[in-house]
Amino acid sequence: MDLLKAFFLVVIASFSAFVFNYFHWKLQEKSKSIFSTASALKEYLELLEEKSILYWANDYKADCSPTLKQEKKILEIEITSSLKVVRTLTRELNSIIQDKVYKSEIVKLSNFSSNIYDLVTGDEFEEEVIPSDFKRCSKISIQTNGIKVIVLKVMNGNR
Amino acid sequence: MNIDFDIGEQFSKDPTGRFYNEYKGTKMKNNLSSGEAFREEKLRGLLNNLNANQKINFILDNDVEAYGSSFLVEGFAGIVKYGYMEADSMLGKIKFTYTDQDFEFYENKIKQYIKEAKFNCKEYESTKDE
Repeated sequence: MDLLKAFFLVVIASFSAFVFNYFHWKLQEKSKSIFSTASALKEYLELLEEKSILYWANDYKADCSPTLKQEKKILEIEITSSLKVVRTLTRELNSIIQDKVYKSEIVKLSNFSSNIYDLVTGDEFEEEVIPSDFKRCSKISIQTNGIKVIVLKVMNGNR
Repeated sequence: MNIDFDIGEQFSKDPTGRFYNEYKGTKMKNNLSSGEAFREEKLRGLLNNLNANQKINFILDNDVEAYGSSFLVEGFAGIVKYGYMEADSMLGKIKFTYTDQDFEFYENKIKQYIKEAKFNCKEYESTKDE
């Protein structure tokens, strides 16, 4: 009888350990996934900020050099593609941090994707002649850095 | 029966910019892939020729990689801004399809720009250099 009791205790203990390890592993996997997505997002935010500021700081005149015209076109391509990646990573991050702890961060991340698109690709974007717009550069920098703080917070909570 | 309009196929694979030519009278060429060109040469005609229950179904992602907000605002919301049609009426006449789910973002932005546009707040003056 004692042997049977001991056997059941061992089975229950093993099962409990298995369940604990399983959930611990799941949590770790989720944290890893959040951390890697947030890290990638941070990198693309930096790229977007750099390219957008360079684009809007330049003064593209009708008679600007062919080299500057080519640089402008390349920047437009880089901005458009990095916006797309930022949008995809933001959506991905939002889908894996769906819990109460990050409620406000999710809202801020969602709004950011839409606002930065309007800011970076608005007004004279892709026109031939674009006067430099340092006020816009400043807004781009403030908004991207604001969201980077949130991304870093998410990263730090999932190291 | 609704009308399909494939932007990449029937307008431009690279829809870019806002105006034909903001600096007309100079040596600069007209941008025939601009939002203004899309609105004036395609969208207005399509909307005007619709029957009562017809809608235009825009195919957004066939051979088009992305849209800038300058193009979308001028191309779609310009219809409301220049008084060609009111926002609610326009929204009831257009729909969108795409296979790439990322283009749902552009659908939402187009609808947002149309809703935000003020009806007939500006008189249209073409920037096209004839």
